[in-house]
Amino acid sequence: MEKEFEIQMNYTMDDCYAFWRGFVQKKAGKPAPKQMNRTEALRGSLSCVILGLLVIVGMFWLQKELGVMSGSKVFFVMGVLLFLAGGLTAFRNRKEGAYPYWVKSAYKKFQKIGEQDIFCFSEKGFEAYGPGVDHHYDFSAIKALWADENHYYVELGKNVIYMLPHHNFTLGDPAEFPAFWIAQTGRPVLPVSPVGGELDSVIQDNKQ
Amino acid sequence: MFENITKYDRTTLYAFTDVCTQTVRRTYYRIQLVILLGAGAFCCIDGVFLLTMWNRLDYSSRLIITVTLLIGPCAIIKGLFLRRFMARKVRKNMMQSNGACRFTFTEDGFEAEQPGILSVYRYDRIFKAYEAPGYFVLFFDKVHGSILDMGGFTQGTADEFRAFLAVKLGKPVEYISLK
Repeated sequence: MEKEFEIQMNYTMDDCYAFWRGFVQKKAGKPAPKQMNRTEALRGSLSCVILGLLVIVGMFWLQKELGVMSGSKVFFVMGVLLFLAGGLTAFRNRKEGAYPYWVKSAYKKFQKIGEQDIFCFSEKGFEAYGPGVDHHYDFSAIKALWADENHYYVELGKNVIYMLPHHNFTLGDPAEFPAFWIAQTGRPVLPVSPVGGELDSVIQDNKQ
Repeated sequence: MFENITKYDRTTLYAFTDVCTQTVRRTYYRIQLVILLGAGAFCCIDGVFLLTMWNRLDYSSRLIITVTLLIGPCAIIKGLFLRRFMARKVRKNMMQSNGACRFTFTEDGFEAEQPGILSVYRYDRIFKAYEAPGYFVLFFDKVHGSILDMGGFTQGTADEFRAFLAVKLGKPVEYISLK
């Protein structure tokens, strides 16, 4: 059977980050959570550091100058926690484009794999060729096809999702992939992070 | 050539989990068991001890004791039946639950076929292989594997398959007893 689309798996850190945003940080089909930009996050972190320091210094001053003792341990612990939390988040956000730990860990695991998988789509179905094992799936075995700006995601079942970045397509145009999918299955391509509404309303719009 | 049809029912999945917890997932299983039973015992003993001082405690302490006495037995029960909980999780994570899988073994490799899914493996993809009472278990890594019911051979016998697998893997298949 002639292949219509071929994808050579070669993920970048941004691909892992996109997967994390779509499937790990939240459930697929739910809107993306609001996120602070780096400046806002740094501002918040440094505020926590300063506030924590003020609480700690204030507690010591109150004890030394006024002899105030009641509740001091609780406020001292709160001040230390604020200081540490603010310092840790400020340290993590110090560089532009800082990725979450899960993303860096996933990318490192991917880099350790020597042979990269190849994915193929044809009229027969979906095939995944990997080191020592090949999987052939009918379209009926694919639970859903998700999409974001630069990726498609083939969901086969619980915890089995193949990511197809647009830049990994070696055969076929990724822009034509949704039309191929709908022609083969009659099912829509679902947005990973719908804007402005829940997934159900997107499916309703497609049906209209 | 060998052909085997295995139904992935509750008994089979429990056997698969049993072999996993004794082999490739042994460390993970033991750590979970120690944490659950240890924490459960600690919570129960502490809770019962503090119950004797119930009248002398304030509301927040009483709430903590109540929660502790709820968590303790739950943790112990989960620890005692940990394999069953893990088997349930395996069943939930299977792509095609309630199905049967057909295995076909040839000289070059083997295939696992389920409705809508065909997987073709080379023998070098097998990470570890074990024999348990009534089953052969093949692991592809620490997380993925397949189980074959010895009674499901439609071509060849279990004894012949054992010898065949030993030749392909270069070593005898290790025997694991089920708990």
